[in-house]
Amino acid sequence: MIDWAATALWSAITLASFAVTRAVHRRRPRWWLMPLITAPLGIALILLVFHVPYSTYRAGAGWLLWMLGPAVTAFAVPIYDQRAMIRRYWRPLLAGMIAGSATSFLSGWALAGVLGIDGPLRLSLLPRSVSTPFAMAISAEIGGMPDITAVFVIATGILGALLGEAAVKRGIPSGRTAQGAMIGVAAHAIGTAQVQPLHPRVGALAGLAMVLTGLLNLALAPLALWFLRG
Amino acid sequence: MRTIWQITLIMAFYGAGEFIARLTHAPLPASVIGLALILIALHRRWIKPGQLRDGAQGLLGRMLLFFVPAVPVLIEHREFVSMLGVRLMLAVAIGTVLVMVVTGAVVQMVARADD
Repeated sequence: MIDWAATALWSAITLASFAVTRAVHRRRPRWWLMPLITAPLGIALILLVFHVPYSTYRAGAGWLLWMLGPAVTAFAVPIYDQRAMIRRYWRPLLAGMIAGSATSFLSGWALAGVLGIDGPLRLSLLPRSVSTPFAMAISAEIGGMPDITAVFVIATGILGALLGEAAVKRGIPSGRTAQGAMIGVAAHAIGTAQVQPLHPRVGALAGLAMVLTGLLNLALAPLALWFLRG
Repeated sequence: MRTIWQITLIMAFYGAGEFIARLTHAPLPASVIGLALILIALHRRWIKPGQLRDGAQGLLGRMLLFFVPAVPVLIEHREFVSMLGVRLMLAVAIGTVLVMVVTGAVVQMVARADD
């Protein structure tokens, strides 16, 4: 059964936190004031102060998370708009996606090993570079914890978005295709959203790279499983 | 109003994706099947990009908001408020930088004729 009052309450708190933190970030554009950092912090404080378990909050505001699905679907439009670019650069894009995904997976595995992170937590770290709907599916498949993977996905996205924004502003690497691919492969939707207003073509390429990287990772998850068991 | 109508239309494509995913047990998320359906519809000129553009912008522009409800799960994981949390963040940070450097370098190398 859906508890409409709770849904209204937790949705309103989420929307309000996001609106307030975004307004603050527009006035003072510091990285630590990013809405994706400060809004969840505010919500967490409310939950802790009023002794509300996360599951209650999630039952009320979870539909917003569900909206990530239709949002990924919506990437069809910018991808279609950039189809000429894609036809021209599919080869470097594909090379970048394969190299980036392999790096993401192997570096996650190796770094977790070096830093003494093991078990399901180590597995949860592996699909962090792809967008949440993909990452949670892959995490569940390889034996990680989907909820925790979502947090790693967001942390990766925030860092990648900040580095990506700096890279686009400084023109590193010099090619727009390389910039877009780098941001889409490493920082999925969060990075894409960050650079979209800065440079629409980089944004569209990042969106494409993000969707295709998600697909590639999903297709390669059985290979990852084989590696992990081998 | 037009944006809301277009978002509804995109969600209908997503719903069709969900339907197909359940029917065929395809190992693909509904969102990707929906995306493919929109691309097909645009390519076949069943719909024009202008009939979806405002809606797509409306959804994509709010994407960061949609991530927010996933993060407070951390209140259930106090064990991360420790060296473990620091090590996890270190793994995420180093990994992300590596992925960006490798991807950027590979694409740049393959696309030498790029602008």
